[in-house]
This record gives sequence, structure tokens and C-alpha cells, in this order.
Amino acid sequence: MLWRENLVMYDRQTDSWWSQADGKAIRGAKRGTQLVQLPSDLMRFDEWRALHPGTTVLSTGERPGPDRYRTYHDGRAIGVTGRTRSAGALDAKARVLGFRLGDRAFAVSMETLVTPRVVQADAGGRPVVVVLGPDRQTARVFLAREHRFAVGTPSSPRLIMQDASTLTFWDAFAGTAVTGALAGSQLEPVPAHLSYWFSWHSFFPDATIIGGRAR
Amino acid sequence: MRHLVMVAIVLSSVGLAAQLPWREQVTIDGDPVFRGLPKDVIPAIDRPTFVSAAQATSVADDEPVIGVVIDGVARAYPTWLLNGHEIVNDAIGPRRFAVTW
Repeated sequence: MLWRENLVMYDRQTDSWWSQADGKAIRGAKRGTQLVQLPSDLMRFDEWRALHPGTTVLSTGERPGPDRYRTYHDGRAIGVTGRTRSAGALDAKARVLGFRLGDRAFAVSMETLVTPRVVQADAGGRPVVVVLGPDRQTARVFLAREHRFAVGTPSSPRLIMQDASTLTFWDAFAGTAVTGALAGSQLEPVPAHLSYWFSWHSFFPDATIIGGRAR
Repeated sequence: MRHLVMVAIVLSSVGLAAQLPWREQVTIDGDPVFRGLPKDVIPAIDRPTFVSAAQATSVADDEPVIGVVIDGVARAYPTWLLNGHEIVNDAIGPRRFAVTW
């Protein structure tokens, strides 16, 4: 099923309906229950394997066929039920990294993240740092706490950032301090996922755009 | 169910192709819920099996996967497989989660 052009699932215990985009039950005994979102990445397989050489891979024995959604991804269509809605500040199919902190929602414009690669922002009073992934198609969000980050000297194949107060070097996409006073520290990830803007906007119309640019 | 945690990934925001006979079911919070196929016609994966990265011949280097790391265990879910299933009910140790697409 689809609701707001996004997947609706059911659970076999109560037959409640769950909305994927926000992880919330919208009908049935579980209505109002909120699932916990975990950090995850949507990225090229070779880049994922480079980050996690020990990864295993889902395998069902099925043979790959053509991508049935290629036309949808490449085209202008907004959703599939034929109902479109105004998407507000960004192009409807602009790719955003959506995340929530507290009771507020945010959307990072992927287009405007590609050049700076590291963007620090205030997310409703909580500083966050958004880091572009190695395939330049995905990104991660971390709580920045007291740190002020900038892109560091590229002496590594991995994107390096540096915090202004201790000059520690961080593996940016991992959120891990690698050399300097804070070496070994780990930034706390904020669960996020890639979405088309119209989809995120239909669930979170009040979302704050980070790095947005006028259409 | 309350122990279920979710990795919500929504790049596509699609169910199936546009030509499905989307039928309105109910309206929730002002927006209609559409059903295009009967329940379970898109089969969720309940007993996922995994191979090593070297054995993963059904996914090309430049194809997208959803990746998760839970308790130090990394798993990848090729999106071309998720197109036909939408949901993988999975667990790592005591932690149960669903990968959804």
C-alpha cells in the first residue's frame, strides 16, 4: 500500500499499518507507535565494501533483472498514484538527506553538499555536521557538540576534517578522530535517510532545509 | 512488535509501477491510502541468507546497497533485490530490525 506516495507495511501480530517514511503506525492497535530508526547508508556496493571489508550481502538466489524503477528515477514523475502535491522550496525530485532531531525535521540538499563536502549547521539548537560519502551520492549526519569542523588537508584517500579548537584530524565519513588530542573519539551518528524532497516534504512540511537553494 | 526497529530508506517512494490499479482504501490524517496489489503479493523476506562480499556475484560494484552495522556486524542489502520484496525482517544477535525500501 501507499500513503503519501510512500510504502505502508503491516505487522503480522496485530495487522496494524505502518508508514515507512516516518516509521509510525497509522492504523490499527499500534496506531501512534513510533519505531526507532537505526543509522544506515545507501551507497555503491564497492564503496560499502571498502568501508566494511567483512560485510556480508543479502542473497536469495534470484537473478538480477533490469531496474524496474529506472524510468521513475530518471524522469519527472512525482510518485506513482497520479496524485501530485506542491513540494515547496526545492525541486520535487531533488535528493535530500532527511533526519529528525527532537520534534523537528531537517532536509539536507544533496546538491549543495557536493562541493563543500562538510557542512556544519544548527539543527534546532543542536549543532550537527553533515559529511558527504565517498561515492558523493550519500551522506551522514553527526552531532557536532562543541566542535567546529572544516575540511582538512587531503593527505588521505578518505575525506579528512579538522576541528578548530584542538586541530584534531577526523575521518569525516566515519566520524572518528584519527590523529591529535581527541584521537579515538567517535561522533554520535544521527539516523538519516535519502529521500526525494517531495516525499520528505509530504511527511514533514515544516522541515528546515539545510543548504537549500531557490528553484 | 515494539522491539522492532527500522532502517527506513526511501529513495524511491514507490510501490510498484504506475499502471497498477491503485484503489483507495481509507483516508488517514487527510490523505488516502492506496492499495495496488493484494496483501503479501510482494513477499517480505523473513529468513534472509547472506554470502561474503567475494561471493556476492549478483550485485555489481556500482550498484546501490543499503548498508547497516549493528554491534560491529556489517550487512549489505542490494536495492535491486529489495525492489521485489520491499521488506527484510532480520536480526543480529538479540537485535531485531527490518530493512525497508
